[in-house]
Amino acid sequence: MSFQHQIFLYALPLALLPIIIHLFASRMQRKTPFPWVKLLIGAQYEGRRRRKLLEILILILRTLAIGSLVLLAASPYRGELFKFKYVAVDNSPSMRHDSVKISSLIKEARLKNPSLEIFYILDKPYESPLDYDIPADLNVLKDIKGPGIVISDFQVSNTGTYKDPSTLAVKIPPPDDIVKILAVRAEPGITMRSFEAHLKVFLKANERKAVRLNLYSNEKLVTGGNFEVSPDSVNVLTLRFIPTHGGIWKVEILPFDDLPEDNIQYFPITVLEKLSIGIVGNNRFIAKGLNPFKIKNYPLKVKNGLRGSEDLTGFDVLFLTDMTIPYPTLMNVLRYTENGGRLIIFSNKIPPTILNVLGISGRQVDSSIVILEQDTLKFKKVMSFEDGNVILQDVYDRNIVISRKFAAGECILVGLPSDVNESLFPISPSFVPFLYSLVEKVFNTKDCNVVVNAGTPCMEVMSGKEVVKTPWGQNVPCSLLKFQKIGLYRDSLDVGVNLPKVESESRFLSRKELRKRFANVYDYEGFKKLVGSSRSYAKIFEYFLLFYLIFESALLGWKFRQ
Amino acid sequence: MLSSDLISKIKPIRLRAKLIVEGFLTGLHKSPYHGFSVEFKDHRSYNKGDEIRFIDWKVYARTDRFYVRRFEDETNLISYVVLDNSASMGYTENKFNFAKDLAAAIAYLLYLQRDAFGLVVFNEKIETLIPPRTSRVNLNHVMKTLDNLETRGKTSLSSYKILPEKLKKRGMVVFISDMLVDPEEIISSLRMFRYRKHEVLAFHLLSSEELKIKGRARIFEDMESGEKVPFDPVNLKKEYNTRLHKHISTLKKELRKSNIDYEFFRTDEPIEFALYRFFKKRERLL
Repeated sequence: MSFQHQIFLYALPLALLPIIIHLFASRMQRKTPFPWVKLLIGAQYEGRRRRKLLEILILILRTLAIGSLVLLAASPYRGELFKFKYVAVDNSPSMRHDSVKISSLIKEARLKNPSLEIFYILDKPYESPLDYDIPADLNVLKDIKGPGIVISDFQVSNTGTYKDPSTLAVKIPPPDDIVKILAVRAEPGITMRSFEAHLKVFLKANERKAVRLNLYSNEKLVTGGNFEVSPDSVNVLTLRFIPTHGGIWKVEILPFDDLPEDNIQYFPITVLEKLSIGIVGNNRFIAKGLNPFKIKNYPLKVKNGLRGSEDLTGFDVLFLTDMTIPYPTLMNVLRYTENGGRLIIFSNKIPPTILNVLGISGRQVDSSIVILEQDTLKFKKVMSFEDGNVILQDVYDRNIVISRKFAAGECILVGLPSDVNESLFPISPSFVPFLYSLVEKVFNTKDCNVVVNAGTPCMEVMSGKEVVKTPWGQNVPCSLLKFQKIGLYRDSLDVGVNLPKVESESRFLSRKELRKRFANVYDYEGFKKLVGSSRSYAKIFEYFLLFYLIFESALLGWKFRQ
Repeated sequence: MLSSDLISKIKPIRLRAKLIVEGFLTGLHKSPYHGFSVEFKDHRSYNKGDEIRFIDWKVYARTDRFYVRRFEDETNLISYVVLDNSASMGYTENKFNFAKDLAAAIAYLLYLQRDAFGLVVFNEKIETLIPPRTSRVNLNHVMKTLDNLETRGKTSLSSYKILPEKLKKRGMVVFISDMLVDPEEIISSLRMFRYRKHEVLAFHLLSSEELKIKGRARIFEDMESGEKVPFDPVNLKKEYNTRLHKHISTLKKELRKSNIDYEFFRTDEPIEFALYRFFKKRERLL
């Protein structure tokens, strides 16, 4: 048993008060003359047992009553829930998918601990795409003293310096509908971990306990096996991916025992022979429904939910166009580079935050990073192509050769086109053709995928049928095929990062370090368990005090009748 | 008839007694002088100690012997009012006043009927003993004694035992006490009067405060022995009542067994009831 207000426990000796009063009162009773006390002695002798029992009972009850009162004031409880003073709920659009579940859980928590203060971060209606990032709302938490619970999916802006050392963060898992995504591209850079994670989500959603899984490549069975999956753990699916392009891969998931045969589903794993390009940025135009691709009447879907925990490892090249992206997203991008991904950053101004994270001190240019600023972004002039490589000129007039032989962790920072303001980089109509053009030159291919991650939405644009014109007059095939979401990792560590600390370290943390730092980050299920297992004992003492009051009233009534 | 409350406010006990008795007698509708006689009865030879004023000088002149005259009133009742003035009788003011008023009223009644009456006041010792007389002087003496009487001392068995010896003339003993001692001792003592051929009428007086013990738990100190007992009237009221009633019923049973008239009175009851009991007893004896 623990106590919310332990200071009240110092008053516990007060419970001995009835005993002390009883002892003193019996000595300090006033004397009354009486004609013949022998009568009293006799009466006392007769009723001594009953009287003693009653006296002891009353003393015990009074002692317990005062004790109960003190314990009630100290608010006894079991479980961690009562350590917290508030629950801050991220009410941003990305959290809306789980709002009913969260509300009922918070209601339950509040019922158990009525002193818990509930407030919502971002309770205003959606107005601009920046709201998705709950930019400064978490700063509210800085002013709140004491431990609390923050419920969020942590798709937060890098301004979120909200961490309280004693605060429990609860990460909400992604919406269930992500399980519909089963297309996994087996390409260089993809990790086993990501594939397993997808499979896990799928199995949970279908409530299957066991499956048979076969992996085909170009309709040829590569490998297969039976897998049992329990709700709380995931069997490691050891499938070997051949790190080459080409061919169609298919995962066949068969019911193991209890599902009818006609429920067999086939999920193609398409290995595209095209380059995959990701654009990470917070795009105002897309969010407002202004489709830059509409210049060619390409349909475009915008949907919430894709943030820094997205798996980016499938992309061959990633363009970072917006320096105000949420910090977790930035971390994700950098991890992408760690895993061998190629990153090109466009910006006219590189915020110090990002420079710090990237490990760049001031304007010192690291040999592996190229920064192209606005003035140098005159593509026709500064960009040349030699031997299949792109040669760019950086701000120091150095020629930067962008070859296909990127080393892991290499970055290119490119300045913004001059028609945009500040660091918010809209995907302008002219940008997409440029992108294709650049990729075509860099990777020597005309057939490529473009994935745009504009902060929240993610789009996969597959090239093919349509043609756009580059600024320098070249026709580039480009088409927008479909929107697709890619799953989130439950155990991804890009949540709740304490930005100032990272800044002081001038580099981003390793996974191990992050895991250590955010050991107190629970997931949704953990929070559910915490609420479920926590219990207040106040009711027990309240009931006892009620019983005691009834007893005392009855005693008083009896005395009065006497 | 004056009310009891009003009478109790009258200071001189004599007047109080008079009012009580006259009120009482009016209520009886009978002659108060029933059985009263001062007629000459006969002579008897003079013995040493006889009062000289009763010597019949005419008979002496004729016979040359001393004879004393005997009157009818001498054959009337001799009564002793025995009043307990131990400290316990002063438990409430009302209790002892009631006892004194009762004693005074009886004395007055006896005086009116020309009965000889005496007064014995006792506690651990015999405090006062006024021999029985019919005279007005005796009445004054009794009244004055009662007026100045205060409670003190213990109720002692020794005085109980001495008393019957002191009251040599047979008569009626009106015993007024709260009888808050062991029943056996009272019974044996009062039996002593019976052995001496006295008629005994025992008035047992208890105040309502004694009969219904009230209040919070406190220490009770014995008014006579000084013994202290912590007692909770609320919790032990039932046991106390049982004990007290057992005490009263034992006294009643045992005294009546010994042909002693026992009457229990609450001190908040009208005193006339007690007088009526006495009057009936006297009537029976004559």
